[in-house]
Amino acid sequence: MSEAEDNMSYRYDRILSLSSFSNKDLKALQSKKVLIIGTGGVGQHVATYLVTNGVEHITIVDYDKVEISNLNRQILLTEDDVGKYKVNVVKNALSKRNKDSNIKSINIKLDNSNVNEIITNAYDIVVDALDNWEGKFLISDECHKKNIPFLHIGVDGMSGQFCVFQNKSLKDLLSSEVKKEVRDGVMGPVVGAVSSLASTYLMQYLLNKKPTDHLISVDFIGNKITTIKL
Amino acid sequence: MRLKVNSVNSNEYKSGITIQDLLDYKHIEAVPWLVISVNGVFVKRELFKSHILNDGDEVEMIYVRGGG
Repeated sequence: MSEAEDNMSYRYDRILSLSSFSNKDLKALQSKKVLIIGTGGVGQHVATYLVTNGVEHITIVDYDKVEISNLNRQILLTEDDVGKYKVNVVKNALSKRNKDSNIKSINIKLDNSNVNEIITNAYDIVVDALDNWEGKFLISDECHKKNIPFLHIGVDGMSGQFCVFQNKSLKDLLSSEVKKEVRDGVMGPVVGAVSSLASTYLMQYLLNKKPTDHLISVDFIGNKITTIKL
Repeated sequence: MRLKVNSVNSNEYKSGITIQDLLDYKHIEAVPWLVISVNGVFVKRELFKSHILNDGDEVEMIYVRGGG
């Protein structure tokens, strides 16, 4: 085994030690390409877990700049980053966590004029890490049109949910009236917890170990996880 | 009849009620971000007024969130 292979193997030692995870699984994850739209609390957690656990080809999309109020849930940011473009800060932070990773960044706001170029069949899955329903529906519609699997994640208040859509789309679950949702604040760890569960599910999905079109809701008031088949 | 609603078992419910009847009884507004399943399977909101619940059904109500 070469030194590079040895380092790679040791990097992934803990996940490779899992009884339910093999070298073949790691190679499969390393071959996947994931597009993450939104690099806020959800996007940063998901990207970090993917990049450090074998999913090394990631493209991140965002247009926002770092604000001090982001820091309660956006784990890759520091106070020194305030005012910088989030997508640059996140790309840099991810690259430092895995120098073998291939992180691409797109500094743009996703909208109707660019969604066709950004969401393409080059990706194995698209992750919705946006903070608004308009964007979430935009991603869902484009993925559904192009038959690209789509991981929806939403968090607010003390709860959140996620679902890998393949045969269904957000429109099958919700009407556009959901945009009237009354929003709350958010406790940082709730974002982390929901995003971590979604990341775990995503990695298992990429290895064909989890089904699509099952909505999983996490509620930290009722201490409850609910699974709903769509 | 007996229903399990949000993990709580009770036999307080009238037979033949619909999902909408259950929401009215519980004083729960069917806001657009409310999602309901019966026995683990999603029910479209267009069916709330016609989907009749059966004895022993398990009903879960969740609120989806749009933050990220």
